[in-house]
Amino acid sequence: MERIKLVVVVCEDALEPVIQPELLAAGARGYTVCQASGRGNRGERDARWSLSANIRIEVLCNAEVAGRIVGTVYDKFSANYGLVVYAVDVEVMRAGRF
Amino acid sequence: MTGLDPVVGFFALGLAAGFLRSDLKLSGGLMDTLSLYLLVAIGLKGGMELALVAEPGALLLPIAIAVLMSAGTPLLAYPALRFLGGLRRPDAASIAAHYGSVSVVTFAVGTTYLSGRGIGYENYLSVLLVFLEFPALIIGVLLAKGIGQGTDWRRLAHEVFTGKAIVLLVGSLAIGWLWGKDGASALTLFYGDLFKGFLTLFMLGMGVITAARFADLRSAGAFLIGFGIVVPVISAVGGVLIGWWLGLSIGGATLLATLYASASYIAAPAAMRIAIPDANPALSMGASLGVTFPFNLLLGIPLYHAMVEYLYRAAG
Repeated sequence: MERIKLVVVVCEDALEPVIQPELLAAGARGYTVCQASGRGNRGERDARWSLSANIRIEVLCNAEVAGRIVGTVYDKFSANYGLVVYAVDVEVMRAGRF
Repeated sequence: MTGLDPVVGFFALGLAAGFLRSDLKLSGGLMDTLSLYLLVAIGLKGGMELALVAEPGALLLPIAIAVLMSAGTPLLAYPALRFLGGLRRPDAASIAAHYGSVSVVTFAVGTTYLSGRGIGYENYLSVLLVFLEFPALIIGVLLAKGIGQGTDWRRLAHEVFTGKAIVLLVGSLAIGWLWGKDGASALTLFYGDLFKGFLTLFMLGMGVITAARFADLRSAGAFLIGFGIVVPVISAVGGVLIGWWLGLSIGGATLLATLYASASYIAAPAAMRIAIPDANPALSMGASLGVTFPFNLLLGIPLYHAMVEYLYRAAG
């Protein structure tokens, strides 16, 4: 097992088409997106329809790419959109794929 | 309760459930399915009626005029929001776009209102839904940013023209038109007779969602609440006059007024969220869904109908 980074972005569903190209441009080789709901400082996001739905994007990558993703997402989107972005260390098999 | 349609009753039920914090909840998937059904049903019906029109080319001019005049709503709403309401430019532009665009469901409720009273209307008006949705979105972005100021027009155009509402409406209009009433008759049970039933379910869900948006009204404030009632009525007056001028029937002019008065709460919010990111969506959604949508259902549509009847009687 090798140690790499897991970057997690939780954001508005509407951002999905805009944020995905940014991830790839920052060097991500892939990502996983799932629907999410919950509560944050902008109130409840109950996913009753697309405008109140969130997504959760997970990206496995090396530390350098993780830094770029967090920086890009934060700089470009955090002013106008509700989002959370964080990175954690994880251990994976076949780290070269990421 | 003869004045109101039971469809509106289900909306009120959803509202009540929302306010009572009931666990009643229509899943996002079900709401998407229902809105897909409504769009296909409206498109098919319009297409089938279009097939009966002897000279479809003759409809081009009235449709073009109705679309051109629809630009009046955002162009009127923007200065009102900006200078009377003191809203920031992006907020004023985004709200103007919401009000210039149309609500398919308000149109659907308008058609059931008319059918319930045995009032006929020009079914080809559903063609207008296709053309009334997007011009206001483009006007909104222009009002917010001017031309060429960092707007990704290609992305906006892609989103607007390939959005599911446009794809389904245009597609099912074409299918209804090509196959005609006889060819598509097997579909009339599902898309015609059951229409109102599915609409009640959708309205139930809309009631629950609208109740959740009432919290946004606090941030919207008294001005936007007044705006959400006055602007639709002014737009509807325009719709009544244009419908009369174009020679539409009483039902047709009522529907045109309803379309002009309605504010988008599906296509416009999604497009504006990306195109004008610094606009606060709580303001536009609070006004369009929290005020204008229920106003149109409960009072607006009967009012627009009464305005049309008054004008048509006065004009002989």
